[in-house]
Amino acid sequence: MTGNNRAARIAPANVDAALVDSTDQMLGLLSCDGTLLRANRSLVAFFDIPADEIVGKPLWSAPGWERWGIGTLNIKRAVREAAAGKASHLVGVLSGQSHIGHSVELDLERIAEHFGLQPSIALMGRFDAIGKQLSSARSLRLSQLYGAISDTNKAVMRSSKPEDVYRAVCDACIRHCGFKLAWIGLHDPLSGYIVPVEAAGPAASYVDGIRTGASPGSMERYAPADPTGRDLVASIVPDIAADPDLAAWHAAAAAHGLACLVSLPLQRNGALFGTLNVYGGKAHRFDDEAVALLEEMADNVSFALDHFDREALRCHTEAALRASEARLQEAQAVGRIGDWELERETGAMTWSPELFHLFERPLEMGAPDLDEALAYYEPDTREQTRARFRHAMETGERCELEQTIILPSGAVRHHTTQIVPLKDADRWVYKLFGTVQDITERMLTEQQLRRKTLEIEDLYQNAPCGYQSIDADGVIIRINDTALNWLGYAREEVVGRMRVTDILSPDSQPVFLDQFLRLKQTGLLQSLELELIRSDGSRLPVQVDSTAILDADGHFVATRTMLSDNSARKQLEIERAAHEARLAELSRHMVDVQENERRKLAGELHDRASPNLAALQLTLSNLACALPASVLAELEPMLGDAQALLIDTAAGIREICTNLRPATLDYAGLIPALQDYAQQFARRTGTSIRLDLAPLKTQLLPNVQSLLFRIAQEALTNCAKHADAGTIHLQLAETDDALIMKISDDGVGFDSCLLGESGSRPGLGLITMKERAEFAGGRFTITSNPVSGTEITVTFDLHALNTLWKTRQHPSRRASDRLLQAGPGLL
Amino acid sequence: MTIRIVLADDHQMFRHALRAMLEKEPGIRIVGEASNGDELIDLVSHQPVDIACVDIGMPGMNGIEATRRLLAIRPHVRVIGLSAFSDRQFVLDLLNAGATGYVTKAEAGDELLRAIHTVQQSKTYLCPDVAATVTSALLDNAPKDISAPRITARERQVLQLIAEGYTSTRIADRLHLAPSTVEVHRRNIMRKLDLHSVAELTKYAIRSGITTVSG
Repeated sequence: MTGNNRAARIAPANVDAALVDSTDQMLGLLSCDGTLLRANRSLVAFFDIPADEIVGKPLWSAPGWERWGIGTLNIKRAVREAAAGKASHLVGVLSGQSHIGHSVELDLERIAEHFGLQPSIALMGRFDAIGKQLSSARSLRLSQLYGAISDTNKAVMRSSKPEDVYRAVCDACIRHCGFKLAWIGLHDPLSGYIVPVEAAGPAASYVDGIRTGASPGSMERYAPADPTGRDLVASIVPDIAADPDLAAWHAAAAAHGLACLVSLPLQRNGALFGTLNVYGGKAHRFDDEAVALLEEMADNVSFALDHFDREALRCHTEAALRASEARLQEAQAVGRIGDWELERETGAMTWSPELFHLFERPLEMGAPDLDEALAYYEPDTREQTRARFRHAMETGERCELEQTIILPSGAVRHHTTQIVPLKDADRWVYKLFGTVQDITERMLTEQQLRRKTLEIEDLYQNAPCGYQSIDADGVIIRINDTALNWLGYAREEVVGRMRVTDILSPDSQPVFLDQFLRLKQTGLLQSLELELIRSDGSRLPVQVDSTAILDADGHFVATRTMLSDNSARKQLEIERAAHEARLAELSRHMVDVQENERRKLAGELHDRASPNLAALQLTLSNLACALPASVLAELEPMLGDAQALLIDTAAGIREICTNLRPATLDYAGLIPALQDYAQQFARRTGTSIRLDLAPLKTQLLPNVQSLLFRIAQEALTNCAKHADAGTIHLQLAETDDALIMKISDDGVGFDSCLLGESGSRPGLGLITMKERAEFAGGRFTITSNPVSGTEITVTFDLHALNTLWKTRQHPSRRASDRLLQAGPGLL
Repeated sequence: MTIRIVLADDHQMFRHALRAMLEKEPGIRIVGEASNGDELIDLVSHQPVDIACVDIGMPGMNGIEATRRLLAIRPHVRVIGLSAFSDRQFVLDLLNAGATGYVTKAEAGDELLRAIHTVQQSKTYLCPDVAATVTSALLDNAPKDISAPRITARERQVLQLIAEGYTSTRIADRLHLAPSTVEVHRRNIMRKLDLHSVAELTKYAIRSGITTVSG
């Protein structure tokens, strides 16, 4: 028993396992789980059963194996331990019943980590003795053939390319067996010919010679006449010279000392690939046994060819795997995902490169164990992670968790880790694997998004105005908290249930519906004032602004509507209106007061000053008459002066009275007062006045008459001061419901825009009149331009006039009242 | 033949002054005084009266109503309105009530006497001030009153000097008057003559021969 370790020399990439005899013959091939993949003739002979009954089954399931003595158990154990990577080789003796003394060296080698989880095993063995007695010559020949086969097998095991195998096979045939020629040709599928690629032996030139100048015709000579190429069985020519089919080559063969030949098919994936051709120097050199051994040799070459294909495929696959691994690493780096594995038993972890990067761990440090890995995590996360790992191991459930990690650089990152348990047949978790992804950026983005969303939501819900959306049917499909608070409804009562019209006051409903139609057409609704009805029935004035949401085809879908609380403004409006009413009332009151004062003053002057002056005049006259003529003559100029003073004073008082309050106005009414005033005005100013004063059907209140009179008076005064008019036209007319007074002139007008500006031509008087007219419910318009003169129009709604201006009792009425007591005579 | 007159006015002092003036006139006798319309009616119902001088603005029954009632019971009595007002409407209303004279109180002296004598002859008399108002009302484009208005001697003096270009101060110096008195005269002249500017005054003075166009 030898302990040599030749299997270690077997090129790892070549086979899964090989069973080789003690002369380094390969007996067969084993997979790592002990399955016999191939068995050569010797091994089949050893077991003494048909090859298909043992090939494809575990070696130790072969019949009679249990009787093979100590090797039996050892092989089984050895294979198992080799698979686990614990044993390297084992030597034992096969002591089968019919093959006593056959010892086998089983050299176990874990041949490659290249096979990853599937380490292969080579089994090498030695048959020390063959049970049968052979004739010494035959025995020698067979022994030579075995040597050749063994070399062939070694070449098959060790070569990395077919050419090496071809050379080794040809060489072995010549070296061991003393053949004249051995060559290998490959089948050219296009031409159908066998093209020589390797030749060895003393007669090697036979191939060269013939090959030289070869033509398709001449090539035929190489192709054995038998069906080798087609039926894939050996073709034997025991005596070339005697074979008429080979007549064409008789001469050349003879010249090279070639007497017999065997042509053996080489197969690749079950198809003809080429031929191995062996020539002997003596006829009938090849008996059946030799041919069988040569066939085995050819089979082994075929096997090697197949193996090279498998190997090429494997290399290709491996390269593809490496490329895909590289891509995976790159993808992991881009996605900041790393993966890991954890062996439960040892606690050892493997990390992918990106994982090192994620943990800022130098690759040189190697993968940490679980505890060291957990130490990276922030304490809370650490315990949580540990618990999850434990849970996964105990329950076999996969899980996912998020973690916070403080990196060596101090950076705080967030990870998400997937844990996937792997279970064996007993549901025992022997391994965990999973991924780790850095989700910091995603989390930050999500947080930011969440914050923004919350901000926007808050803006929407708690804005200082109401928001809502209405669909095409007027149903409220969205509404914010502010609007709900105003209304006093819960969201679920409103959204999808109420129409806008349900929360509008009866007055607002038609207004809204009208505007809603317009909104659907124009896409816009602005500053619509509506009144909402709250859940408690109270009302809320709002201002509504809407824009339309349209679909891709421009059809109306819904509104974006903003509601603004209008109650403060409405309240202000009410207050302002009240204020204005008070102001108007005050103004009217002031007019009354003023008119009363004027009337009173005029009355005083009339009733007291004027008669006093008249009496004084008379008294003075009487006095003059009583004077002696001489005295009178002396005093006359002085008396005249005194009289003149009295007259002027009386006249002045009369003018003052007229200006203060024309007695006619109280006595006879507006029209006579206007007529008198116009007449005096015309006389005083020389301006011609045209009067169109239609008799009034309506009895105007005294204060209204005063107002109209004053407006006319002011207009005329203004005209006299500024207009330089030739004619003034004063009109007074009454329609069914309005009273219109119009004063126009043909003088120099002014720019209406300047009315009321300080320093502008028409003075404050007109402004005052305008205000008074408006406070009394009238409309006062003034149109003027420098060319066509000025026109002032005052219009009063008769009804409004009489309700607005209640009659006031004048506290003091003097002379004019006395006249009025009997009523006006003419009007 | 003596004209019997009653005076009706609530202003007692004026009434007395008027009475004193009228009583100096030969042929005029004041037969009674009333301070209101009722007293007036009472007076005329109990004695023969030719003319009643009636103040328009009396308390109680006003002068217009009093005139109407008086004439209802004594149609032959002539009524002269006396008033501080010269407003057209009052004048017209009084005339419509049957009065035939109207004199403003400021002209109650000579004008009233003139009125008394005129109405006594069954004619109507309106003092110039009132006449102007009524006339211009009747005729919108009536020419200015061309009856020679009566201006006093002093006024004539002042007018002449104004027309000759004197300022009020110089006129005052010439006539030994206060400048304000000159102003008073001028205003009175303008009012009487219904003139409204110095130019018009000058024109009038030349036309009426008060002054001549100088060099």
